[in-house]
Amino acid sequence: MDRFDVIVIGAGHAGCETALASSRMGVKTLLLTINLDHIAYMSCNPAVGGLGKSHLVKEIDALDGEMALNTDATGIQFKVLNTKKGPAVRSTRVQADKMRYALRMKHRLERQENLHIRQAIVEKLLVDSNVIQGVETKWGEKFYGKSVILTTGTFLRGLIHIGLEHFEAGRMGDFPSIGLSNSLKELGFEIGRLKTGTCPRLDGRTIDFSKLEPQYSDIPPKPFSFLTTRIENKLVPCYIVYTNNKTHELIRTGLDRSPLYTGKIKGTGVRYCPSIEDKVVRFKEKERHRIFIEPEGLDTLEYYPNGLATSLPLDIQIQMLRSIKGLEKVEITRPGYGIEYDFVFPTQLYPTLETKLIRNLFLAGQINGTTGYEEAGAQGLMAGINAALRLKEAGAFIIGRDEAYIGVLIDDLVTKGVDEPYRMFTSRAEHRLLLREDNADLRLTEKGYAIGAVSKERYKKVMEKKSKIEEVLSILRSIRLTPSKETNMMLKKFLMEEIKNPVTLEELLKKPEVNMKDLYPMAPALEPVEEEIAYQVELNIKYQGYIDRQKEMVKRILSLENKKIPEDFNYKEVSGLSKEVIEKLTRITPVSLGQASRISGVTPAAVTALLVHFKKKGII
Amino acid sequence: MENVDTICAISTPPGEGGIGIIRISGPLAHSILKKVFSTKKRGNRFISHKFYLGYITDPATKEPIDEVFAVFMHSPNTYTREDIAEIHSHAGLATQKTILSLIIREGARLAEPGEFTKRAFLNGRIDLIQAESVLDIIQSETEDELKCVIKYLEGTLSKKINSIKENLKNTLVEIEALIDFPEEEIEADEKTHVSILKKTRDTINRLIDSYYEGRAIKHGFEVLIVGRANVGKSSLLNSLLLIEKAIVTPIPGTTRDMVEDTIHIKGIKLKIIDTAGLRKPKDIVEKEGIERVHRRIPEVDLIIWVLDGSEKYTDEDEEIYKHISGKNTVAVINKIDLPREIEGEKILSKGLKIVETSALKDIGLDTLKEVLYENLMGKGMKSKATLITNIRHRDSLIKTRDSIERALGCIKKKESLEFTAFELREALFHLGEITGETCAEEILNDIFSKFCIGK
Repeated sequence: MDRFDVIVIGAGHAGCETALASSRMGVKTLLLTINLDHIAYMSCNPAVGGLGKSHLVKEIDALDGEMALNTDATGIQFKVLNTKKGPAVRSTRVQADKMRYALRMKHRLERQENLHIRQAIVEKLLVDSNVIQGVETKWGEKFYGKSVILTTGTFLRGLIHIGLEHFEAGRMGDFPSIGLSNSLKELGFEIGRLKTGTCPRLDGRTIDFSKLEPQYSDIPPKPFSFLTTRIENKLVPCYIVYTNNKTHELIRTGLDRSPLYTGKIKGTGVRYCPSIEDKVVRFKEKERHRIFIEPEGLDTLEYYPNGLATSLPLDIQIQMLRSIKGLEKVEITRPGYGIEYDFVFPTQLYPTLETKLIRNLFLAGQINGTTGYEEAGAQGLMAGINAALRLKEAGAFIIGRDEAYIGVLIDDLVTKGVDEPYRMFTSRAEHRLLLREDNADLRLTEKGYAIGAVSKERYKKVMEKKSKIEEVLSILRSIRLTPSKETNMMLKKFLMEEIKNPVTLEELLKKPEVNMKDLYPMAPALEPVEEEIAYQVELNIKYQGYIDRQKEMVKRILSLENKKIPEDFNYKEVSGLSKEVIEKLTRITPVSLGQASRISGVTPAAVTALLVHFKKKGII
Repeated sequence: MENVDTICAISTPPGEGGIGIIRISGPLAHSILKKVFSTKKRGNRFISHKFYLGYITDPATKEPIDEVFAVFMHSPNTYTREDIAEIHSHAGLATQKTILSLIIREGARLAEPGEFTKRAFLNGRIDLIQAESVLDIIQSETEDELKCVIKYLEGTLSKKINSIKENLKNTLVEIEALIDFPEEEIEADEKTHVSILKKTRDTINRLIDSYYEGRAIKHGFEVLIVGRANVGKSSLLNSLLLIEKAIVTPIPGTTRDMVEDTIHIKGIKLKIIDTAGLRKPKDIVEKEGIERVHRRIPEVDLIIWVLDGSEKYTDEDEEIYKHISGKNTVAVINKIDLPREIEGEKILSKGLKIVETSALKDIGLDTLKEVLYENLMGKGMKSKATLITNIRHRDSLIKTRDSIERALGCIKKKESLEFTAFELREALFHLGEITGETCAEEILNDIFSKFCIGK
């Protein structure tokens, strides 16, 4: 019988961040996984990042999480998306070497102080008077912990579908977790069912690459982590192919054996990453769909045809693949499949990701109805931090919607709940212009350090960056150019407009065509700074108008956010609220009026009624 | 709904109308009705939404008070979405008040003004625009005002605002799709965005412009009567009002302060203000009165400049004209029942519309009303259009329009899409102050239904 502070169940992308976060914060942590060889395994596409998701990865990094570093170490293609758009929606996406990614993470965990790792199938949660005590495994082992964090991904009653065939599995090749799901139900949790899917994998020797359109990495590759200075990995391209009418016809002939269209699959699927059969049925008029052929790693010839997730029968899978130009002779190494799994409705959680039902039980990742490695990692990190803070009897660490995508993610989950797998998009963040990839460290590291979740080295680095930015900004504000002949000649030489009145360098930099680099010859007092600093400075000045307006908006919203609702407040006291609204508020127990206002069905009028009531009673 | 108390009120306007309705809303509605109302045919409960004929009886004294119709309406299919009971009585106000006090004795409380509507709004029965409209209808006085308000209720404004919202949302959806899915083949066209946004802006502008008309219908126009002393201004006002409101004497300077009252012309409310005769003041009171007139001139919608047809055009008349020139003015030549002395061409040359009247003999007053109406409402009033009458709506629309203008500016300056999106989100936010918010989920739903997305 072993005793731990924190027990983490599941070593996927959520579980790894959870276990690392809590053990980094000095609490004795146990990580249990069904398969030690599949730690941080990329069950779906071998890539990290993309719009909205990359923001999460940068934020995980800013809080000392591992995902960005692990991606930098094992990435084989680096791209920045949306380079032609503004800084807030630029986004990093990295193809990772699937096996190296998993191995490196495993090794990272093994070297982590305070962290113990064991292979086990957890069958049961041990609970006493609504407080978690530990877990029991299939082999009868009992592990006791003050906190338990479930990061079980798609493993809860996982059911794989290929055509009309189906079998129980956590993912292809792994045991499912059946007992745990029942254990949660018995404890009174409301459980739902979701569906996701993945693509078949292809044998690279049977792909005619000469017919494919390559897509190369950015050079030089831009790292994910704020700590990584250079990427020196070997880089390889992805390839683009297109489906055609023949592909679509073949898919249609298989629909009568599709578990999706014959009603075998009951769970709700992901709209943002639909199966190819779904795309063909829903968008009949589209003549082709783009498919990215992504390498699974440097040590393998397997490829991942991104965009072809399917649960059609195997014979249709191979036929439709072979109808695509360049894949005429392709062989499948592993079939694509759909998987249904149980999830826990996340409105049963506090913003710390602790369950409302069982004290010290936390849930993170796909079990909360999300999809994606990044969404999982972000929740894992926050659950790990909050579990550790609870043991240290410190206050909760909750990040606002105005501070980070992590805040948007968790607030959406616990406030609005999910009815389909939840994926992050930049459009979910109402304060998008403030929440950029490039300033994740400036937004979060200091906060993380204050609660002991971030190392001193990272903190110092960020603080130096911060003060350097301030310093350069103040220099730019203080240096004034007068409209002398020499100045205007200089300006002309650097292709800038002449000036008639004195201007500060800050004002000059406001012009869209002017960069930091252009200013150096103009002002000898201004020493050249690192690119990173220059970027922040330019951004601060050029987008100041928007940034200020966005901050104004945040202020408006924060006034509701800061109005806290007492934990055991009885909404029936408030006159004028409908039964439906009372029921919703009672169930979700929002921590603030701001959160209350975001619950679907809670009308602005209801919020006003609450506000009036609280004011009358002197609660706020 | 245990937390809600039961309210009651006389729901028909005071006065000797045909029927007076007393309304009770809340959890006690049924039990109170049962106690105060007795009818022959009835089981243990009233059938919902069915009228019963019976008597209101004082439960304490068993004394019958009035023969009435009563109806009980079970929630949620009621105006407030609560249980409602209504008592329709034919008796006068005194009896209605007696009935009301019985109801209060049985546990209801008197509703605050607009509280039924407030409950309907809070319970999600009606939206804010509708709630405001109901309050307007209660207070509306004239026919056109009523029409305007009813249109609100039918939701023409809601419909218009919703179509504005749809346009903004559709554009935002395409822009968001371009931002969040850079590797997808999204078909979205900047030219279409610009043309939709411009059209939407123009629609909003028309609504904003309608505020003046809408406001006029709701609050009426202000009309100021000016003229030198004793040309018959007060008589004119009285004739228009058909009552002796202003004191009329042959002594110049009788009207020292402003006298005002309301008349209705074809459903339009006109507040007519009679003023002190504008002449060299003889004392402080008169001086103050005249100064007030001068201050008022720039504020009103229309000026009626009264001249004495039986006297020559004087320097004083000309002096007055200097004060009002440039304002929207109708000239009235009064006292045409007397021999004519005034030089009409002096007034004609000022390009003013002239109406000849005799306030005393009731000549030309209908023509004057016609001229006033046309002047204020323009020929062929645009009352078929949707009007906004609420300043909150106008302000939100102005902010919405400004955000759209900035979004158009972003597109024109070729700024990155997230800034256009920022402005459009703000536009939707301001529009949401009228209709309720557009949430991120709504945008995402539309992206997914419109574009085939997903790798």
